[in-house]
Amino acid sequence: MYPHERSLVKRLKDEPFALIGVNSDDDREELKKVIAKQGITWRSFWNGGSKSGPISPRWTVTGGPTIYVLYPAGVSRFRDVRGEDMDRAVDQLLEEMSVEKQ
Amino acid sequence: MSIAICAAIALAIATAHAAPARAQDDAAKTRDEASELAAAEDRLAELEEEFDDARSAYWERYEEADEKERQVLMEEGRPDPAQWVPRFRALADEFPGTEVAAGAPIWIASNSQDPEQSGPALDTLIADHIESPHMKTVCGMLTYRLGDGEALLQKIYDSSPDHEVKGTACYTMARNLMQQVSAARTLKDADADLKAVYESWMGADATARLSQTDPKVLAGKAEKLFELVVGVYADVPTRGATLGKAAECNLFELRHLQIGMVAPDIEGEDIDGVAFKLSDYRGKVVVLDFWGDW
Repeated sequence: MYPHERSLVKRLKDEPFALIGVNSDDDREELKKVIAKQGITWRSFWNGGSKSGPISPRWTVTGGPTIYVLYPAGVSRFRDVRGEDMDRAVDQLLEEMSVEKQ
Repeated sequence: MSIAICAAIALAIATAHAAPARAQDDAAKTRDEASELAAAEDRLAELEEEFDDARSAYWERYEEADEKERQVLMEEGRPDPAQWVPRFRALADEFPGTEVAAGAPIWIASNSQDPEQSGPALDTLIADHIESPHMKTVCGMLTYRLGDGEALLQKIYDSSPDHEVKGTACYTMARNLMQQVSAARTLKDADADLKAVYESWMGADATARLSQTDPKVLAGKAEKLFELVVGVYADVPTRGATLGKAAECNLFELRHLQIGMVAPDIEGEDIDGVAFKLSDYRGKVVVLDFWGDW
């Protein structure tokens, strides 16, 4: 997962795109080490050190890793797309944005 | 194979033979119905434990085996619940109308991979034990049963005198409806192959029905049920939380997180403690990823 996300962020570094995490690990200092080691350059919310923190339970009803892809005004457009599906979803929305601008 | 594991298996076999004998002795010692039932409950627990032990012994052997031995173990197969089913059935038959008689089919319905066994067990539970507090466990088995799950849960809800069972039936019915919502959405543009997958899962009738159903109507029904849970059954405990909390999360998802809705803002701090908001990123395509290094 990290390698895919790393390459996505790198590929789209000049595009109107952001990857935002909500992290539910329990140890902030350990997490900082992971972030450094894995080359995680994107920003994450700190979910209070638990999966049942202030942000996540309402957003992750189905349990397990959850992903949303949001269109510029904050509208959810895709959910739980991973790997190539995530790339396709993001590319599609970026394409829509550039069409709208024209 | 290690000595400890051999011993564990030998013990499992020994208990298998000893359990009925011990229970018969117990029954002979006292004619008191209550203690007889307590003994039957012990036997039920022992039978459940025996299967759990056999299963963990199998995995322990697998864990320690080399490639070749694993091949043999795979061919042998894991302990099959089907082999325990007759003994659970016999125990249920011995104590009709009791909680033991309900506990046995619950085990069968939860464990047996064979629909010829789990189907009738579920039928027995609905027909003979619908007022049992055990029905709470049964509700959980019906979440993904899209054919008749909703109707069965309605029946449990209508028939049970038990607050926790009623609440769980109501919550599970709503979750089942949410599954129907996603099935109905998928079926709208499904090709023949995908339709066939759904047909083998939930039957041709249910597939045809869901293909014709407006997902919004199903979502509306689910929303009303989640509201009922929040209003009446919020206190009912469920895995690690209460039904009220779980239903509130589901309502939040229904009302704010559906595709096409504006996602709610998130205000918080990043890993370094710097405050920021999701809405800071308006104007960009955002992938919002809930993650952890686990």
